[in-house]
Amino acid sequence: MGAFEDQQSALVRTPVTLAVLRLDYCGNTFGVSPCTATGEPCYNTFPTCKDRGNYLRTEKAYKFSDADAPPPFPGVRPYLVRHRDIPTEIRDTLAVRGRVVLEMLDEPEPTDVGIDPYVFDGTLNYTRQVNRSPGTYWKKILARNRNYAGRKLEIYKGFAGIAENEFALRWAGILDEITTDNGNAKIEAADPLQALRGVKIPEQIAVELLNDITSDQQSFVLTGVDLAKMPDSGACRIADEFIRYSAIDRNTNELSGVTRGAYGSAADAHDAGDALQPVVYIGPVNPFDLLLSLLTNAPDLRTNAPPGAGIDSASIDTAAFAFWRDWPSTDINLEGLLEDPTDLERLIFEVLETVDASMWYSERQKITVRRNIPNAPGRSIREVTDAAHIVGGSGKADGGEDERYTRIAVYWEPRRLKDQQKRSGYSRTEVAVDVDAESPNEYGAVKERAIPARLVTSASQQAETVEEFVASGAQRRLLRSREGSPTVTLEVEIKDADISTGDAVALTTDEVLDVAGNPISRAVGIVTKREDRGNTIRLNVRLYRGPRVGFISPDGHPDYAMATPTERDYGYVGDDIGLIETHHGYRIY
Amino acid sequence: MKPFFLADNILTNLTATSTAFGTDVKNILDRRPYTVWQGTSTAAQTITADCGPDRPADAIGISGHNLSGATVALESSQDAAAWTNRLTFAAGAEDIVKTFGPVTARYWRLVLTNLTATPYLGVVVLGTRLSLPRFPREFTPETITVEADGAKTKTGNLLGLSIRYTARKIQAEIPYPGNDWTENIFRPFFCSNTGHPVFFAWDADNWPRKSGLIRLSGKYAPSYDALGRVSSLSVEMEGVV
Repeated sequence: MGAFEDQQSALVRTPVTLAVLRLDYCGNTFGVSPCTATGEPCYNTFPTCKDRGNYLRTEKAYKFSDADAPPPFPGVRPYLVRHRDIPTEIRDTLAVRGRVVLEMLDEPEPTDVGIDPYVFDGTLNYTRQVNRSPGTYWKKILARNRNYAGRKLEIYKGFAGIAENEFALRWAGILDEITTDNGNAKIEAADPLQALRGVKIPEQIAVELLNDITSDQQSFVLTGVDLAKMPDSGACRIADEFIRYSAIDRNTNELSGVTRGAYGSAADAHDAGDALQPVVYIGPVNPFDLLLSLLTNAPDLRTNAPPGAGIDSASIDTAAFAFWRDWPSTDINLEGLLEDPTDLERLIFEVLETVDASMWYSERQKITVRRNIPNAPGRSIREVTDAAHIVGGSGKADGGEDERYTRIAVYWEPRRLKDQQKRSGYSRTEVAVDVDAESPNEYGAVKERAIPARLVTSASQQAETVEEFVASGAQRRLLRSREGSPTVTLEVEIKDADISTGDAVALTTDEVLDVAGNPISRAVGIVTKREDRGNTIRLNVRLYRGPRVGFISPDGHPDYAMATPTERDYGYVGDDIGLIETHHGYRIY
Repeated sequence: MKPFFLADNILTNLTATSTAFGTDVKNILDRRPYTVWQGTSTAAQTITADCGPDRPADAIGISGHNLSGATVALESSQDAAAWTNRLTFAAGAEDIVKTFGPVTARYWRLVLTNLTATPYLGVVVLGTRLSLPRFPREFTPETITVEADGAKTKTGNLLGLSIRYTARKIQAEIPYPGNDWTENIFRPFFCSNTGHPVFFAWDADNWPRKSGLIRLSGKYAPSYDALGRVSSLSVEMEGVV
């Protein structure tokens, strides 16, 4: 074990949180070639730069540690008084984005050490040294780094006495806002999924017809402030007509190679000033490949098909996308026309629903994905018990009613120019119904989950293949959600801090009882939420009560009663009605 | 030796033989142990101050350092050419407060040798100490409080204990400190240093580990007797171990 692990598992230690703010910093020296600036020196930041042509963007780390713990190493300011997580929460599809709010002490900063590169340089800046204003640390940081938004914030966890490189990176996100208030500073940041917020594909642009056009006119001129954003070729929409074009003349702004009344729409006459909006045609493409494209492609309509959020691929667990793309075999391809500017977040949500997968930003600093299957052989499962892990007084459980459904309705084969959030926007619907669950003997009510799938169409693949994909997907989803999945909320101590969102745990706790009234024993659940609370870690663990997927196990596994949670991730044969020890058994996927 | 404070710093116009990026040597003047000067190697390091006019000193305090095991020498000079040693000692891991015979000089330097790690210093104060006029009547030189969070499992097993920090509190009540000292020496000292870390040594020679960087807390509220004499002065200080 390393020093970090030694401290984490020690009975007595001093935990330290380290926040690292990475702000832009010029790599040049004021007045030294290539910098040609003269006079009062800048602060090596772009807003204060006097020779922007030679500005050299690099990064500078500003480090802060807990105000109520010893600074862990030199060069760290002990300003951090409160670290509040609004943690990632895995939902059935797109996760709740994680946010971090840090409250920092502020203090008079008469020396400017560390925030003014020329503060003590007698040859360059003696005047400023003498006449320095008595502002506070954070106010000076803000004044000199007005362009902080979008830069990085990293949260590390470690312990007093270990080296800086032993600290463990627990969260990394994008700065939203820094404010000062009553002698404190508040720093807010969000995880990289924040980049999805507000992005529309295609981007809404301001382009319109310069002149009236007839219903059969084959070329026409555009005007508007966003002409430069028009793709070199593609498709667009004017009112209810779709138009494909093969070229745009960047000098005259004339569209040519035009196909009127595309995608089954009717060609029509339009007036000068009518708005023209590019549309995006997606696919045919594998759903997981599409998710990756939507995350990583730049939002620029001209260079990307489809445009996306522009998230750095280093922030994405591409191996997970590749693994689940091919598990157990590839899905149908998705395709479709985005007729209007569509919320990217909404579109990703729909793709995830279509393949019944979840996506979230993990504590391992990657956007990751996983199909929503209840068991997966080979995964690591951590034991969490009342006796050895769960902090006294911290447990509670809910019944999981919000995730229980008796029928799943999938809408597919979208109709043009209809509201694709409603059933009327589609020509096909597949409904999977659990009659037993809706009977008076069980829940006695219909609880339907509607899944609009605007990118599921048989336009370029066999209708039977698509029908089978939709029907089996709806059935699996129904099996998975016919029982409520209780969520147990508990706290563990720092020694168990490496349990992350998305991890599988085997719970032994009296917060949930089995039918005989005994505490559940080694019931496997998924950590859907993890909240750092200083000395403890709060976990939400969603248990699963429905049938599991039957995998063929290796030779030598014991009987079910003697099997470990890891062994039970494979399949066992149930009784005549599919039960094992009063629980749902296993099904063929 | 009577307990004393060390607050007024004569060090200025500093230079160092080497300085790591982002750790200017003037960091040692801001009384923040977490902003440091750091050298670039374990070779001998010298920090030199040109005080301008001659300045007196009889004590030095060092905090926020990693000099444990190193040899520290304090030297003075009138011309920055001929140096006279005023003090040499082997540093421990804790804050350092040392005294020496009063000297007035323009140039002062700190020479660090026998270094086992690239040295860093958070705070250095060199100046004239302010001694208490007499030993306190009621004196608690150290009350240590461990600020910690602990937890047990649902079945009562002890989980880990997370110590946040170890607080240190010092209380002294000085009997009849003298009206002149109280009003004209201690009161200005208290007012100008409230909120600022200063060094305090109870018995720098015999109890060096109980010396260090503290902050004056509480109130300035001397008591007077019927004859108008200051009958007692309570001083409270706080710091961390």
